[in-house]
Amino acid sequence: MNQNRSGSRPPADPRAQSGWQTPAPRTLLEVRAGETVRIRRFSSAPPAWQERLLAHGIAPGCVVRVMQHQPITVIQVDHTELGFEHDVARVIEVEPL
Amino acid sequence: MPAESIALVGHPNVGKSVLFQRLTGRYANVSNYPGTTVEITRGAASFLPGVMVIDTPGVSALPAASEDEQVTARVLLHEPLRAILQVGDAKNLRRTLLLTIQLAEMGRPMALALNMMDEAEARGLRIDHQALSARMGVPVLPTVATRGAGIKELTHSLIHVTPPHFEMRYPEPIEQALQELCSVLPSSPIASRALGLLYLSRDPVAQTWIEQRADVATQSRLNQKREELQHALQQPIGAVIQQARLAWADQTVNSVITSRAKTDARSAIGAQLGRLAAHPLWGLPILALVLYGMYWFVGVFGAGDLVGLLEENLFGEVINPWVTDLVHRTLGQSLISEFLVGEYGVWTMGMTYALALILPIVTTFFIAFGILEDSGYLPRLAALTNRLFAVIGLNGKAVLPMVLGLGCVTMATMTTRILESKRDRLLVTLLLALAVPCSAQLGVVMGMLASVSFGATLWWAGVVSLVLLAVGWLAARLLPGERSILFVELPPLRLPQASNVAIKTLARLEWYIKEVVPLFLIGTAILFALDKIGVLPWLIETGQPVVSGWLGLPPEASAAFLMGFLRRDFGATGLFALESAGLLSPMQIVVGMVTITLFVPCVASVMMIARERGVRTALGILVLIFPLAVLVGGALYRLLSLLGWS
Repeated sequence: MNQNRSGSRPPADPRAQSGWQTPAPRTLLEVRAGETVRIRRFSSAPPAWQERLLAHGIAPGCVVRVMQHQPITVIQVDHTELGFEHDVARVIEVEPL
Repeated sequence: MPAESIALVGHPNVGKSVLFQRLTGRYANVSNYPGTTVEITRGAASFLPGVMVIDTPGVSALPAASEDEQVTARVLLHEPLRAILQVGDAKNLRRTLLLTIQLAEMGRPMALALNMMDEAEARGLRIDHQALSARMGVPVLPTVATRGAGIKELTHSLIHVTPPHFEMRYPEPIEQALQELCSVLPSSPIASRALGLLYLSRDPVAQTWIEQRADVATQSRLNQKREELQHALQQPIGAVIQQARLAWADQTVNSVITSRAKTDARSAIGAQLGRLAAHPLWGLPILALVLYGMYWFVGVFGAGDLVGLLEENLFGEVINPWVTDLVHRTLGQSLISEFLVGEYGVWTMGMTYALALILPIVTTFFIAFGILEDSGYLPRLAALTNRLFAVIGLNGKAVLPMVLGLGCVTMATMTTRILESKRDRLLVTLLLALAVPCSAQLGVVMGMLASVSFGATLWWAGVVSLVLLAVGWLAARLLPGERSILFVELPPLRLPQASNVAIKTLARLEWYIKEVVPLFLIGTAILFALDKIGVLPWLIETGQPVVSGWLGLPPEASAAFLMGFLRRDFGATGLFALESAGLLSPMQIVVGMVTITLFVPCVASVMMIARERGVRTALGILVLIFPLAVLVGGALYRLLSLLGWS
């Protein structure tokens, strides 16, 4: 939970869908594997997904580590690894630590 | 009415079933795959006479998202519970507490077993369980269920368990709504505050429970309150409630964990292997190896070698001649003896089928499945194949039943239980019945096609795959409900314990003998009756014009198709006999093999479909598959003729 990586901003991800360069990933899908980020919000997700995320202890403010994106996105929260489809990762907004 | 019970409730993979065994001395399903314990297991508590222990399917949290979770919610709302025992994963305390809050709010006597304490300690976590107990208002007992540590203290605590002293406050709008709800909600076995929270977060089980007990006026009032609250909040009510709970859980975790892990150095190998197994590139050879190993063990060794040994040698040459002789000597050539040992005899067909043909397949299958379950590999398998199954409106969890279908469609139909929604189960059941050839059939089909040409094999595989994809694609769009997105926990890869796999296999075999074998006997009895009243010969005769006219096959093939319904491999074998007699051309072989592969599965799998999905669904699937198989076969006949085949 407390791996501090303050200041080190992950480089922009080629998967970022907007045309211009972004200094930091904005959604979980843009976070590179191995990076740790803080969840900002996922309020645009369908309620069922929101509840599922919350049920697994993933909430705004919570720090997660992205393990991989292929074939599905896998993140580590506490001592659990969770995998979900890119559609879910795309609606989870994140911020650097 | 059942006796008072203690319900074991907890997340998937926290050792509930092992703890259940410790508390009852009886076996339950232990697994690594989230949500395998679909059926509830009950056992007498060894420490409290007259009290039952219920093992419930794993839940992440309520509201119930899957059918498994709904079962657990139903237990909590409907069963006469003496106590709730939450089983939690000590190393994932935050997530555990999220559920503890919900359960404690229900106001029923409860205790929390903090299980897998050894794994938490190995990761450097120290938990002050007394402080935790004080904060949550429930007894907290550290345990290591696999080693039996902490069980004595746990049972002692369960004997004297009392309702929890727990109260946490939600954001003001929710508190206000709750207050109004509580005054109108019908009285329930759980605290009305907890029921109100479930209702507000749209839990389907709570919703139904209320609908059955409250009058229409009350219901519309409740609904109106909920809509007003939703309107006032920015986010879904359920999300707001869960966030408040998470905040509470976070505070609690920070105050009771006295030391934290730095890295997980200890499980490095398991973690590495786990990562490789879910890797987009390296995962594929591992996947191929696992699937091939499974196919070899169940399909080749079980369905081939063992079945050959039991069916042909033991039953065919020793047991059945002896039984037939015995029956004939005691009963003579009567209808009863024909019922027992005739062509469709309960013993010669039903029992032989159940014990010599299916038993070896299910035994090898249960062993292989048990190993896969306990290894933690299944969710990774789902992750790797997810994209493929997305095409036909499914998610990666469907891979297991589909691959197992190549071994035995009947057993594969049973494993559709691991799928989350009714829609997914129905879809996979349909595809299995239609387009997945079982190992017995596959052997004959491959042999015959190989005798024609490699191109013939390609035509067969291509047409069957095309039908599979087309029907899957179409059915996924026609069936009501949405595709369920893949969302899985990836537990660490573990080496399965032989004893655990063995116990589990035995318990499942017991289930097979008690529940499935009777299906074969009933199925045989029905066939016997159909044969006696002349329906079977009539069917063969009625089918002849279709078989020779539309499919372009010799009339004798009609009987082979009917036999194919009794047993899929019989159908193929029947055609094989025709080929040996020189009655089939290469084109007829391809058409015949495609039709028989798409044809209805064997009678045993029909019984299994009826058991798992209901009689109406089974009939519906039959009505869909019969004409479809014939239609595709006939179309292929015409296409191949056009291409110059003969």
